Amino acid sequence: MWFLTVIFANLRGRPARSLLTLSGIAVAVAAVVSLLGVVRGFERSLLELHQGRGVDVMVQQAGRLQMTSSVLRESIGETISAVNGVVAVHPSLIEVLSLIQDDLMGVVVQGWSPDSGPVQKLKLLDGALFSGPEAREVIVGQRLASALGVAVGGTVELLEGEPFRVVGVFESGNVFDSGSMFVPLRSLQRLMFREGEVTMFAVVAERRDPESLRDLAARIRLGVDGKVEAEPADDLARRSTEIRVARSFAWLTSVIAVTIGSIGMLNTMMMAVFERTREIAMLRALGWRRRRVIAMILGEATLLSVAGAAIGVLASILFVRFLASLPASGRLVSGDLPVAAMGQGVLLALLLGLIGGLYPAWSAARLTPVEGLRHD
Amino acid sequence: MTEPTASPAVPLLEAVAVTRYFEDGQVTALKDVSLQIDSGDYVALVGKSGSGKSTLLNLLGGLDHPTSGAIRYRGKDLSEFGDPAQFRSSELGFVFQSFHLISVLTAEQNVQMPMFESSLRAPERRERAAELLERVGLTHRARHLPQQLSVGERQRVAIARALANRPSLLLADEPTGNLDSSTAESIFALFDSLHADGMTLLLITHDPLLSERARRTWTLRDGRLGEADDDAKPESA
Repeated sequence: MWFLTVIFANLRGRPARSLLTLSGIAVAVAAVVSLLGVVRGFERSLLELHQGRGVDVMVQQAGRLQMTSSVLRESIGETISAVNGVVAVHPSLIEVLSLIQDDLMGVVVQGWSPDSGPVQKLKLLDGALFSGPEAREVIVGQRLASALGVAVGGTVELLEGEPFRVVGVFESGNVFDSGSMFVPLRSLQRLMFREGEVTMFAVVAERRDPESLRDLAARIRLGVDGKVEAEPADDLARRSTEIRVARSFAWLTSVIAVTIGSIGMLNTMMMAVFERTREIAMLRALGWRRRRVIAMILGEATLLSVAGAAIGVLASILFVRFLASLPASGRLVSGDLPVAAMGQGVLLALLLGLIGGLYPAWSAARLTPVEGLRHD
Repeated sequence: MTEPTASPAVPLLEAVAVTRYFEDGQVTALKDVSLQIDSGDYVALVGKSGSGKSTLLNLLGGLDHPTSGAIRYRGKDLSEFGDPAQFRSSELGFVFQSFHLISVLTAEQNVQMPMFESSLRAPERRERAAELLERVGLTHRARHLPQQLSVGERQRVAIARALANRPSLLLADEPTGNLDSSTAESIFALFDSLHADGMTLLLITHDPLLSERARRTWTLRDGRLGEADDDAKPESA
């Protein structure tokens, strides 16, 4: 018999409690892995978004927490273009609309000039690009098209009584892009009564190394007459409010999960030690050293943790795939879980095992055989 | 079984003027107890409930410490053994009245439990457990859980477990206390047989039939050890 056999037999001998604890850990791990996975996917998508469009520096209104609330005069674009090292400037108006008739909330609508880089780089699955700068046309991302149930030739009402014809459907590995739609900048400005206004400028730089981009961003800030924030796209994406809020939310949830999971594990292992006081005392009387008792109790906690981690990670993979398949959430969740998030889930489970098992193990090891054998 | 190795001059186990108080001296469990157990001895310790028998057994087994006095094993004070658990593991075997078998482990696995503190590897542990179960006549019950065994069989498993690390001394606390007379008789016979193989035994018992089979009987009264009636015993039971 191996020592592991004893540990396994002890858990198998109390199936209800072991299964309940294992479920608690699995739920905690699944919650944390899913949240971290979604947030990391969100972050990765945001970074890839700019890289995929060939955007190097983003310019938006200073002091705005969220990019979508930024408001800039479109004419600033000319000033930015004049800054040394700038190759191209693409103004963009971004609106987040609720398509009531389709029961979809928070749909990102991107207004770009038809000849801008981001529009020209779209990978069309079907249809064509915009016919003109003021066309009432949309090019819809694949995920959004699926959620809306539209195809080329169909229409989408951006506002009530404001139909736009679907001229193309594009594919994108990026979950944000795929869950959004493109509209000619002028058409969107007119629709939203925001002529002459944009949300941001996407700048294409001559030199793309991080140092040069930071230098260029600084020169744009100085060159523009007005309070603007110019930053390399990667830096901006990394510290975006959405990502920071999502990260905070994920970590807060993780802390709650760790706390609840630890208490569950602590309770289980304390009960296991209490119920087996005489058994542990007998083992000590038979010559088991304290460290072997600790190894047994911690081993039980660890085995529960590892099994809980495996189930939790598997559950989170299925859960995130399920979320990605839903019309409402599929526009925001990619369905892939980063390996790092799964690793964090496994670490979390081991931490739960350690926190929840340490005190009971210590308390079992402290038990003197004489006291323990008297225990009822 | 372990061959006696102590020199005749040095007892296997010795208590010298041992006193044990509880509750800050309010209760005197043992008072000035001195005794010697030599290799190959077969000693019964009798006495009424509360006379201090279990306390003495705990002290002799290194499970408890005397308030004053000394316990020596092969002439060495127990306090000089670095880890009392290691001493118990290598030198002693314990048998309890309530068996204390682990319910989720089979008979064979229960017997292996003390061996985790030895240097034996898993196949050797299994082999030795099989030998010990054969020794107590339970080979056919090796894969049964304790609850599938009769009480007599459970006590036999507990005795096999006590012998797991080939101890020099077997300490048993009321080993037949939970058994009917015919089952108890089979356990007596097993102890006799172990003694015949050279094992040193110290048994706490209320059972006069068992104490009669021992070579020496000590009586504890109110924490004091009475006269030993060593010479009254026949050589074989």
